[in-house]
Amino acid sequence: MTNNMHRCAVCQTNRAQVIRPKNGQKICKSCFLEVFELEVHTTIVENNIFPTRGERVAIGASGGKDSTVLAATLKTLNERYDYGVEFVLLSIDEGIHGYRDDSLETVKRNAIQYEMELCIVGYDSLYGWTMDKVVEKVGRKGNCTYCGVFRRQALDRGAKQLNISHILTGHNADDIAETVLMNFLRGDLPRLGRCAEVMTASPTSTMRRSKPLKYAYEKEIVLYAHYRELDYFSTECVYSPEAFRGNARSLLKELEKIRPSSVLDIVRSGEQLVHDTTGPIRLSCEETKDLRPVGSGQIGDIRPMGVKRHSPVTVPQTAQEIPHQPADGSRVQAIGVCGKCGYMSSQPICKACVLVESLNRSNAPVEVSFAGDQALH
Amino acid sequence: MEFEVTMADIARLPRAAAQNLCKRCKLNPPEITMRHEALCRDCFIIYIRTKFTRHMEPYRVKKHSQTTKKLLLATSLGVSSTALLDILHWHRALQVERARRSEYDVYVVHIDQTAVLGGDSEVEDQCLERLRGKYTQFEFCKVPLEEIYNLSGSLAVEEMVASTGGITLDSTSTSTTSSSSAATSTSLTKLRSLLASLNSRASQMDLINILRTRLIIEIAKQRSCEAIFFADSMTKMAAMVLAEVTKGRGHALPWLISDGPTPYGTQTLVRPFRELSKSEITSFITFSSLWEYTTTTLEATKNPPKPPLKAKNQTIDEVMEKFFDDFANTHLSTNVVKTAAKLEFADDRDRVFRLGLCEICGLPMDEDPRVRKLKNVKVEGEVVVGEAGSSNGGSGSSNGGSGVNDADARIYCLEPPVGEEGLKQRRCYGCRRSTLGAGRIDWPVNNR
Repeated sequence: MTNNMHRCAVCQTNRAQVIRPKNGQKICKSCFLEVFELEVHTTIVENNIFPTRGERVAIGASGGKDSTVLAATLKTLNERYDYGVEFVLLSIDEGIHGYRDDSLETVKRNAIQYEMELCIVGYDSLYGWTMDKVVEKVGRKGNCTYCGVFRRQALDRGAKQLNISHILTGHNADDIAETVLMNFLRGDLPRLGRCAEVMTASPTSTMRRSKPLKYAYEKEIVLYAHYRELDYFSTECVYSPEAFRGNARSLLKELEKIRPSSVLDIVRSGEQLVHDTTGPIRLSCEETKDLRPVGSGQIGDIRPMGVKRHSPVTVPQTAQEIPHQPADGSRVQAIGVCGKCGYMSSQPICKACVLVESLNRSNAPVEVSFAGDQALH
Repeated sequence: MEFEVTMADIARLPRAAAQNLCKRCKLNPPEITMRHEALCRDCFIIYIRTKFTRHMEPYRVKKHSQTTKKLLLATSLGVSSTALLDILHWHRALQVERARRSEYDVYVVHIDQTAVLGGDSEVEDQCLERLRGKYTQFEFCKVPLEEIYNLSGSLAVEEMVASTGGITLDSTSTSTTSSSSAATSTSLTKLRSLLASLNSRASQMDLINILRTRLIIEIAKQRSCEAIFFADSMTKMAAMVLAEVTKGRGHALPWLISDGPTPYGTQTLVRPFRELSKSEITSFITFSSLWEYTTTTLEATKNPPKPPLKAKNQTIDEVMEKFFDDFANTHLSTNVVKTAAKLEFADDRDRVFRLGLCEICGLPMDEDPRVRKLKNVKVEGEVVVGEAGSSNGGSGSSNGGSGVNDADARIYCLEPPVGEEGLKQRRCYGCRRSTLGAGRIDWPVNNR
């Protein structure tokens, strides 16, 4: 009796070592690794993540568990199922001492272990600000906004340097479920519609972004890394974690206790919302969102942007990027070019430039009146 | 300098006076701060009633209307239910006073779930008696939840319209003919065995909630009520939205939370408290001294008793309600409800036509999110399985079935039970999740 209870539910021979959070199945180590890889493979095949052979694809690598598992699994799967793609590790150096410098060492080791090319892009060189300096300026509250905006653009720019147009990120099922909950809680309808997609081609970016680990539980990723003895870096960012996400995260953890499939169920619900936001008939709210500025009295606001939008000539290289829209052609957000850096943006000036500008601006007066400030305090 | 001081004084004077008086009527001292406004008792009650009256447009007294509309009010005997009952009573009395007649009659229904959930049936009876004594214009009625096994059976016999895909009971004829007490006991046995087959308390409560709603709608059909009033507050609805998302019913959100008809009936659902928070309704009950007409107390509302269960045995709805009861999160409920209300399903009619309704919850079926995207991608079997969903009914297209190409089985780990391979075409994701491992179930209602 007890013998039977500890047998793996898949191969029926080995001792069960893992309880799968998705369905409570008790399976052995080797079956777990196989099932995990097969699921990632299914996600890749069903979503046609690698449509063309010979493509070079970037893996956003932080050195953490998710991206390390992503790189390791993809290397295995690429060899096993012959996707015929070449992977490049792309890392962002936010300039956080005691966190990123250490994790980048891990990525460098990974690059050797998986025989992948590595490219590191620094905030320092892109924006003239490291996160350490940003935090010094804006404090620990809200610095994640800067980091998030910068990272998104930095990944794109890094990929462009490598002449790559497809980035894979290590977002797992827990991340996506949290995001779905979070977007509900903060009422972000447009993001709610796309956060659960496996593949996104955002209008503000020419990059395709895919999340092959979308259906993988965080717990299983940790287990996978543990069983394959992967070399990863497991320290949290030294700056305050996103408070709002923490809220959603603790809620999700509680739900997972009740019904372990909840994480997956939320992802599924999120997908259904996607289906309807990007379907052939657009959501009425999206249409009104586009029409509102014209109808209401904010025309003064919208005009200069409209002018920018129709003059991509200013930055020739981005001209051919503008028609690059999702294949189903459903999203109607206007794409323009940032007036400062020439990067794609839905606004006259891209968010990163706005943030950098605000950093630089708040920098200047302080420096000028430095002596006076000191006298005051 | 002197000038500045004078200006400041002038500016300060009326504000100081206003602080002691209600912001709206400027007559009485304020008793509650509501959305940054200090209001007196009367103005607050007016505010609550105004929010309610907005939803009563179809039920205003009309000059040429001949018939009196029948409304069903579902009550749990909780705070919001009693508040809605009180306001509806006030609204109707006002119509009678002003127009000498009322546009509608109200039939108050309480679903007794004590047989399956525990709790004191006596307390509920006493509360109902008190309500009957106070609200004399309304008709009251208590229906046990298990009655759904009898009610829909007899209804199905009376006015059955070619039902597709629903489970028809073999024993309906016997239960309707046998004596009522015997019918109750057999139906209770059926309900209990249905609940016992489910794998968690969360799933049980999910199905109980679905059954309750469906029973209420069946009663409304039987009593030919044209609208059903629910006292769901904004706080409650926010919890509902996230709970349904968590259960995997994101596809049906518009149906779940919007007012209007249900896919399986013509009765309109109305939630007149959808813009009021739970705390506002609680204050209303306090100001109107209605606590004795509910089965809860002010203390219990202020400090909700911790569920005596293990964290694992909580239900998804309970966790969500607790989340929004938390003071730090209450303000988020507006976002959730408004966002969910904006979700629209442009192809919903098409979807109902193509995919049919879920046999359990009666809401439109979901479509495998990959099906559409996959139309361009050739993956053997998968597309065919997805498209076979249009043939609603137990054909159970067995090509592949639980086979290798079923993404539900592989990615979501949602294998259909043995012998029920066509389940994916009849039961939505959320209901398949809640009934996972239950085997063949005896479901009392069908979609007509």
